Amino acid sequence: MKIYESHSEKDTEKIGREIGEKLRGGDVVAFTGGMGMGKTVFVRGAAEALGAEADVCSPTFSIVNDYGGKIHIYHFDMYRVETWDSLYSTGFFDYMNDESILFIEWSENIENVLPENAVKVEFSKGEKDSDRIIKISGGGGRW
Amino acid sequence: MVILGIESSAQSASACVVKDSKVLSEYFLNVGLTHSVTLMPLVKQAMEGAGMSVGDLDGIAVANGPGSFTGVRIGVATAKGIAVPADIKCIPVSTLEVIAYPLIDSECIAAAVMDARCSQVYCGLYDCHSSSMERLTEDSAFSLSELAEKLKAYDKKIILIGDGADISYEYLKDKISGVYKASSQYVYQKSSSAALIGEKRLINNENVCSAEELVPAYLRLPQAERELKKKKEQKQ
Repeated sequence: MKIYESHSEKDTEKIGREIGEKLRGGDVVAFTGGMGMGKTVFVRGAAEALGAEADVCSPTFSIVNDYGGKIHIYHFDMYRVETWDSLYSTGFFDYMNDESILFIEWSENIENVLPENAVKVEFSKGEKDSDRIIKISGGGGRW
Repeated sequence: MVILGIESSAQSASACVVKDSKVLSEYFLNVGLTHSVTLMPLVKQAMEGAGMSVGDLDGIAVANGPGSFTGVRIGVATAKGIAVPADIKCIPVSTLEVIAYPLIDSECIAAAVMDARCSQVYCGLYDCHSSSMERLTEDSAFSLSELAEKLKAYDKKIILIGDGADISYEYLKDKISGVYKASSQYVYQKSSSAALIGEKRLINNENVCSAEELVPAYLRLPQAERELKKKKEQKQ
């Protein structure tokens, strides 16, 4: 496990970039930690490191965003996904393959289908309002 | 009789034109789930290669699931889109039957299996004998242990075929005797199987429908009854 402290959006994006550099095809990055914690900012940094072809934005309404890239990057928000049937109809299982990297916000909603070697990114608040503690674990022992 | 065949239920996509049981053209791609981009050009190439236009078609046979949510939808929507303006008849063919079809000339039970993730498979069993294929079970979604239980009931040679054959074989090989895997060339199903099955159905007017009536056939996974999230309270 690796623990980072972020004091700003800029820090979170930088941490995202650092993690992004270590990701590879087939990885599923599972976020937990509530609203407004900086998950999308983290993905922006990681996607940039991975050579995304499109701008990162929150997938809250679209459920999944496709950013392209040499290793294809998909960004999910599972906040409204409550059942297996709704998960299936997002096409989630279609996107899981060795040529793609999946970033999953609100992954606690689909915890039972996350692969064993998922990279877990857990956000919690720090001392100040703008502080965040970001715990990274999993990824088959990479963190 | 001229049939356009369409198959895009899983990883691969293909389109073909069959005339009087002869495959005139078939185009196949296996480059990931990009069917929304690749399927229409495949259809166009298959039609042009066979020298056919939409007006020449007597029917459109499409593998309508089970399978990938988006893949099945793209295949069915493509068939509908072509069929509606010219009022062409549609023949939905189970993707599992399409998968099993290459074994039609074998003496065996063809166990068509598709990987449905999380140690689950979509499965259809067919008795193949004397160049015919008879359905033994309804298409179902099973966990691998349920599949083992189902297959134990048969004492005929069982051949696993489809993109779930590898995981099924690994699970079953020490549990059931007489289970084999089909040659790796049959891992990916082909539109020509759908078209050849569809042609027979159209001649017999069996399971033929209008474009409006054509729908995907999805199967509910056994795990669908289980809890998706571990800690429901976290969201509050």
